[in-house]
Amino acid sequence: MQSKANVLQTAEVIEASDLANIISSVTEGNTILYFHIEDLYLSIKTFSAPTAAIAETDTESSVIGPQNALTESLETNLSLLKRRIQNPNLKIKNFVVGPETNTKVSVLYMENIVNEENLDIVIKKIEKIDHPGFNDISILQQLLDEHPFSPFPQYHETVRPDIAVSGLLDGRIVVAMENSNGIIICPISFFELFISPEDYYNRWTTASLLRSLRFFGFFLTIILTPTYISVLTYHPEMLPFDVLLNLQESRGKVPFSPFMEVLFMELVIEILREAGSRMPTKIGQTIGIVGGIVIGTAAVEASLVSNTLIVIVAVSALLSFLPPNFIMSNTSRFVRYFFIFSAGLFGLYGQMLAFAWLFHHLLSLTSLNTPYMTPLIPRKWTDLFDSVVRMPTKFLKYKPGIARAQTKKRPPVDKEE
Amino acid sequence: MKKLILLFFIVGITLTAGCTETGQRTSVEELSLVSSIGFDLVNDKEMRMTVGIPQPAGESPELTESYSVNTEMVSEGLVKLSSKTDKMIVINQLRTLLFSEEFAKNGKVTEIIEHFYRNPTVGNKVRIVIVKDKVEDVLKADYPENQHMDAYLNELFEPKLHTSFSPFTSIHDYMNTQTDPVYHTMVPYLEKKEGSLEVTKVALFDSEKLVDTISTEQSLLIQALVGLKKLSPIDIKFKDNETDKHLFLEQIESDVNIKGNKNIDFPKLNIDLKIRAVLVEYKGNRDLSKVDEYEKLEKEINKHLEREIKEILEKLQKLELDPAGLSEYFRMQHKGKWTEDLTKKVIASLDYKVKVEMKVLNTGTLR
Amino acid sequence: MMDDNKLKVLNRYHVVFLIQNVIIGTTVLSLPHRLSSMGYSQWWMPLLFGVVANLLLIPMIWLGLKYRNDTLFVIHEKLFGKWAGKTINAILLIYFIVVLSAVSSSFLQLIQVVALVDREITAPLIILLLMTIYIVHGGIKSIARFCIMSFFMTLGLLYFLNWGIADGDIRHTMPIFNFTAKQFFTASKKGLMAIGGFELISFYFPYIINQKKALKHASFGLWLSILFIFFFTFVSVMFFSEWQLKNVLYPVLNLFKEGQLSYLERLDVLGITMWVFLILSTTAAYLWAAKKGIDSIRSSPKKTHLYFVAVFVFILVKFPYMEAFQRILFERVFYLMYALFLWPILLCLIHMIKPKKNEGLE
Repeated sequence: MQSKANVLQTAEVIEASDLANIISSVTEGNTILYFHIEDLYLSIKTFSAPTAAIAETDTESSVIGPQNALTESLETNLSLLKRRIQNPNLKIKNFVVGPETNTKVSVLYMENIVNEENLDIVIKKIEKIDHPGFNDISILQQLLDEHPFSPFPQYHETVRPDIAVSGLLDGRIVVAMENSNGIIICPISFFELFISPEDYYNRWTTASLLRSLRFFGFFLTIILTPTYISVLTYHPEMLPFDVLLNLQESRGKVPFSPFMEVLFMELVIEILREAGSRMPTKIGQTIGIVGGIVIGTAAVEASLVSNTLIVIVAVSALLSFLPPNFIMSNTSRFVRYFFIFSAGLFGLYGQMLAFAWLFHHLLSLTSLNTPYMTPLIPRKWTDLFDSVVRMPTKFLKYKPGIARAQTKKRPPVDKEE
Repeated sequence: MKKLILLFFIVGITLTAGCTETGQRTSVEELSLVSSIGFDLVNDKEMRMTVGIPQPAGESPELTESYSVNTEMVSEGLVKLSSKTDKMIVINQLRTLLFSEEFAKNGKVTEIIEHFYRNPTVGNKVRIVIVKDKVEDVLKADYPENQHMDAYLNELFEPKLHTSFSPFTSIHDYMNTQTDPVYHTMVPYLEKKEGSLEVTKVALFDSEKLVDTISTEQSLLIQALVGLKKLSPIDIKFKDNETDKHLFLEQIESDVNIKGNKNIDFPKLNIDLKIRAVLVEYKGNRDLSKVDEYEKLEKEINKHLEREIKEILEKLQKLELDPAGLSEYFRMQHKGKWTEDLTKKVIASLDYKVKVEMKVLNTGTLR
Repeated sequence: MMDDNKLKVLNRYHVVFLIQNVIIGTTVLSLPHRLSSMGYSQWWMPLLFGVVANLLLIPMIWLGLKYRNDTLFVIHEKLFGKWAGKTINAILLIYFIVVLSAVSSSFLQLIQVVALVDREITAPLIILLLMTIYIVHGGIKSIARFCIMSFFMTLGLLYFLNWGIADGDIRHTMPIFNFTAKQFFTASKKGLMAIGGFELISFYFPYIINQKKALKHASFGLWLSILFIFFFTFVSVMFFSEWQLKNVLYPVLNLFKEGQLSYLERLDVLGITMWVFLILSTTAAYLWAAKKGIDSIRSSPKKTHLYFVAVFVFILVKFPYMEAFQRILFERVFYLMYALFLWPILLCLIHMIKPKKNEGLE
């Protein structure tokens, strides 16, 4: 009996009485081979899921460093990660979530580094999840959030395997999902959302420069246009003489208040961006350029907005694309509107109150019960080596405080080879 | 959950109020931002107030609009002027206050400056200027080289190296020296000359009244005594000196060290001035390639500067004025309240010892 | 929110910055004016205040160590019995509300003068109070975190003193002891309230993790803020004449006015609006203490108590036809503050006299 099963390598013996198993085997795409005489059922894997080839990433591209992105097949993704960490300590726990879609979810961690408390939290949260179906891992991410109403992402979602690997080596936990090309890394701090993997491949000087640009760019994009409103409406005395004359000239024919002007222009930018991303790539690019230049120039000539504002809005729109994490860049746009309204209401005082709100909100956020603002109020002094200034690589051997990595066990890998 | 409701409440208020209330605010282009105000004396009660309002290019043919009005009080004048212009007059961007010499001699300046000092919307960096004739003429004149009159005035009183003789008196400096019993106020003195403006002298105040003026060269020496580190170029013309006639010093760095004898009844001051400078032009009969000749020249300059400093100090002594704050060295050691009378007494009986040490660095790149 | 479950939440940084930031409120802006009766000799007064405050900290912390898990409200009830304790707590609660109103109203008046000219302060006041409530919602630890943040945010304000130092005259600091006893008394009476805020440690002491070292951390925070205050006072003395110190209500604000950047003039507007961080940390701490007060009086902790306090503050600041009363109240409240400074000494004495069986949890 077994001899027949041994002939076909992909075959599997199924008990005759297990009808349910047979049916589910068929629905999975297998072929059932039935031998009358022996009453033997063989389930043969004649199914192979079509998977996309490993490609480069569009959303998180970098100039140097590994270019491969994760795909939409869990199996491929796991192999991509395992290929990078050849270590028996890399463990995977599998779950199935969503009673309707039955989506496979894998939790990856380094057994010797990971903080077990964190791991428990993640596993418990995944087991508890009650959601009918999953199309993408970002849904899972939002379900795992501790502060679901916050505009800020509390876990890092990425399509780059190298980010996942460095997360694993820090002692973080990586969650991957079938049919989703993203993975999530937890816990994460606010500042780490501004770190691009390229920072570690560049020289430390360039990396530090770019990193601080991204970090302060986030705050700049939030305050640029609101400051325009508050200075023009509430604090004209703050402008230097020459700037004042220029502004008066360019604002001269604009019929709206600065607040309405800014709101109008910001909305135009949003529309351009949204329209551009909905259109096929080639048309999208043209629309972006044409829309930007034509609408901008025409709006100035029609005296709808001042040309100073066009520059400010354009710069702040560009700045909002600096964070490597796309969700963060979207968040900065949302938060900006909050600042615009408070500036329109109370000028600089409103802006400062909005800042107080922003900081307090960020301070009260947690990611896996770890404070979100960790590097600003460091957990470990060694975290400062890898903050706004990235020190040269030889200083970066310490695990970040936020992951609360184990320190006692040493990896037993060295002797096994 | 409560926190969230609260958050949405805040956002909600911000949104609704942000949309409704902004309409009432006037923004920059709807304001007439006065940048300079001038005061002329009309009679005992009234003064003539002239304001200069910079205009954005392209809005009106004139780059600076100026309006005049007769008034008794500043605020009243501003209200009167508001009805003359098409926009609301505000003084948030005020930069220069001009007073005619006559006005300052009448002793009314302090009262007006105090009015502006009180107003929180006016900055501290408003410069104060005394004008030789009528302020109205200065503000209403055309300056062919400098179309933008307000920008011109503003530039003129930005501290720069080549005008470092000027005290650049701001509202704060004025109030500070007026109310400090030690100091007497100095204010730059402006003259209008053929389509341009020039700071020709520095006016000296005795309490609230303008009493005298000193030349810019003398003022520079006072600035050096006050402790200014970098001085404007000095032009030295020697008198009664056979060999040397005329020289010009640039890139002057000065360091002053003053010591008092702590005795108010017989005050003595040792003034030690160290100067390093570059000699750029020399007219005379010395051969400067020789070291000893060079040293002799330095001594001549020392002597000349010492004499100049003594001259100005004697002049101030006669006026019983202390714009350099020399009596502060005695106030420091004095217990109890210091009064202006004490300052006058100290200055009048002060015994100076002036020593200047000059170090000429080189004579440029050519021998 | 999760912090509510655990009692001990404040680590050493939290203690340092809670002390530091709660002290700095609006009084610092006007301190050189308050001390002006001493003329130029006032510049070392903040250092003296620092010594006084440091000495006063000792009984507070000693008392705290005797009652490790109790706020001052609970200590009152334990020492004086239920009803007498509750009465004292009610007085304290009123005191907190008055301080809160005084701080917010004086700050908003400044905002009205400098940043929001000719605007009603009602809406800014509501927003300020709502922000305060929002911060207090997270509990004392979240206030402490906010304090750390605002310390680093406002550290840049010290740079604005740059111009004041450049234009000032260091000779004003001499002679050092040029004042009479009466002038000294007036100055210390008016000025001592600038260090008000450290007394709140009696209320958050039970939340400190390392209580044994609390004195060290609290003193460090105290001297950090004294240094801040000292800088402002010192530069004001250098920069102003005695007349100006007497007549300019907010000398520190005028110091900010002196600054100028090439792309931004009038740093006073920026400075005063940034000051809101320091105000928020102060009001948040007082609101938190006031909330604990209501909790202990009504013997049940409820979040709605926060809103009660805020409404009272709003009424006190905005209630019409009370301006004269309000002014007297806000000016005289510092007597109660000084009493609260000395209060723990009395409590220590009572604690020592009382029979041992009544002693709190040791």
